[in-house]
Amino acid sequence: MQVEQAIFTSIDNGSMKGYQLTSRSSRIDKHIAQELCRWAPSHASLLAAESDYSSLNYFPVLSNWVAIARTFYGGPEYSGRGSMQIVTHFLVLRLEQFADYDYDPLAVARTAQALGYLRLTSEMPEQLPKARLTDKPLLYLPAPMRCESAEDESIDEQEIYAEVLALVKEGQRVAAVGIASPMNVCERLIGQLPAASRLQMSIATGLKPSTHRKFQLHFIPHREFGMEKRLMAQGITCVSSNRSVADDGEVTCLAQRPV
Amino acid sequence: MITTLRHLDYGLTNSELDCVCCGTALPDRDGFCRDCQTPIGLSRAVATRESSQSFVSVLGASGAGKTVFLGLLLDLLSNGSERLKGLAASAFSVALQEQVITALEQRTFPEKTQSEADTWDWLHCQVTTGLKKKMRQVDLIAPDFAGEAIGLEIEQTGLYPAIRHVVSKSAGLLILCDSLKVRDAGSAEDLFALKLASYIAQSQGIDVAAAHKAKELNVKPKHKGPAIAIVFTKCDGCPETREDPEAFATNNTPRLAEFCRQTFHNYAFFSAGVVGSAGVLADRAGRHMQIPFHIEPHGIIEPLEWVMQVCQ
Repeated sequence: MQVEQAIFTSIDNGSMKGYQLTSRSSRIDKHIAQELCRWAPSHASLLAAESDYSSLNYFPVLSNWVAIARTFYGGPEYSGRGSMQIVTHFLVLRLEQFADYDYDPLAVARTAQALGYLRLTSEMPEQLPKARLTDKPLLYLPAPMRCESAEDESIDEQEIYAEVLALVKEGQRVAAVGIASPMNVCERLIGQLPAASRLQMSIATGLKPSTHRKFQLHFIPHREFGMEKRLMAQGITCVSSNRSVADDGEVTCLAQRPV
Repeated sequence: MITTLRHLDYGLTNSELDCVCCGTALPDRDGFCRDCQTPIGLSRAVATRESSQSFVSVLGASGAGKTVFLGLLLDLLSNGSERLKGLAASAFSVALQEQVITALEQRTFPEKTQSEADTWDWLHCQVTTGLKKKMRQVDLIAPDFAGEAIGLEIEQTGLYPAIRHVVSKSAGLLILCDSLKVRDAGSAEDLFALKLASYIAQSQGIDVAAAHKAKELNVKPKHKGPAIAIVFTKCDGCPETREDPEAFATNNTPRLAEFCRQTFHNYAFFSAGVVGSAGVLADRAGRHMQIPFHIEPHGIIEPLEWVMQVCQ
């Protein structure tokens, strides 16, 4: 199966400087490119500064396409302001191609990464070839296996998951705070949602929430001061554990969302 | 003691507040306009002010120096003379000034401006010009756009509505061009500035063909249009711009210069710089960082002063 791909990062190509769609395959037309630029993160958009940090993103593109993207740090940003460039590799699939993967963006991502896609490359030519994926996922996790990963989760993460699932089913925008392994939670979530819901939702596992990119589900590793208020102003419900440590060291946790 | 409703949450109900940028009604109390991502706090601050508001757009490619220019502008205006003086009109306006001054004091340049509209800083200051009876006060609003957002908006109109709204209602526009790239990197800067000038003309409703014809016939246009200041930045590394900015523009950005001559009634060329000299540091990861050796502002206030004189 051949799918479209594109790369968004910061370069100086003479006519345009800064974050832009640097590379694309043949069927990425002006309209799809505009949507990819709308969802693509720019400078300092990753939630952590570690050089190996990355975010897996998924979102619908127009009415007939979906995009699965991975955002990570690349080399030094060209403009000499001392920071690292943010690179986003997209795979863009038609709905009928996505159906072969059971509308599971994580299955697409796993297969793509196993085949060498969604990774930092030394070259970013303007014209990219199509990406060749297998017709079916290389590794498909049936629902029972997805639920087994819940055994490794802490109590508060399980409570957060339940709350997040309920909100996602209602169509609300959610930020899950304090999840150690967003991918595990995503696996379970995808398994619980019908195909129609999966097509409408959007996920970012490691990007800073922004009004510019209206992802439905965000994962935020740590709570920050004033975070709930900022997220609420964007229409995002924040679900986090409310940890309290008693004098004897016993930790009580409660998954909560602001009233 | 609270004596008037004005003191309670600015005396405005949610239904009364419109976005200062796009005019959309703002039902929310905090956050950003749903249409253009302008901070609601800016709209609230502007709504309570009695002075007239004037938008000034500072535009340019990524890396041209918009953030440093705007941040230092407010800092210099706050220490300005009676001829031109400015004070921050809202708290978040100081954020940009603080970011730039702090970075320069630490001998670095501020980080790259993010493309996401909700991360942009907005300069909102009360500018006073003139003396005594001729004194005029105006609220100046100037957003710090990301350069690539400007480029993307020119290519695909509608991606950043805030840019379109601000440019269309700006009485004055500053086009910043990196003088080093203009001089050394071929015609790319000239062509981008030309695209920018064309976008400004289109957004301001200027009929370019009619403007050209009027110029040929030496006929004054009915509407003078905005004041356009083309500012060549980083002049510490390009002394030619200081000597004669207009000659520099004619020789190095001929397309832009000719377009301005043919299209705009009020335009002028300036040179500006923030540092006296700068160098480059490289670390083991290959990251290059430009280091300002010392701060020596030049030509930061003059473009704004000219714009305000023209717009009077």
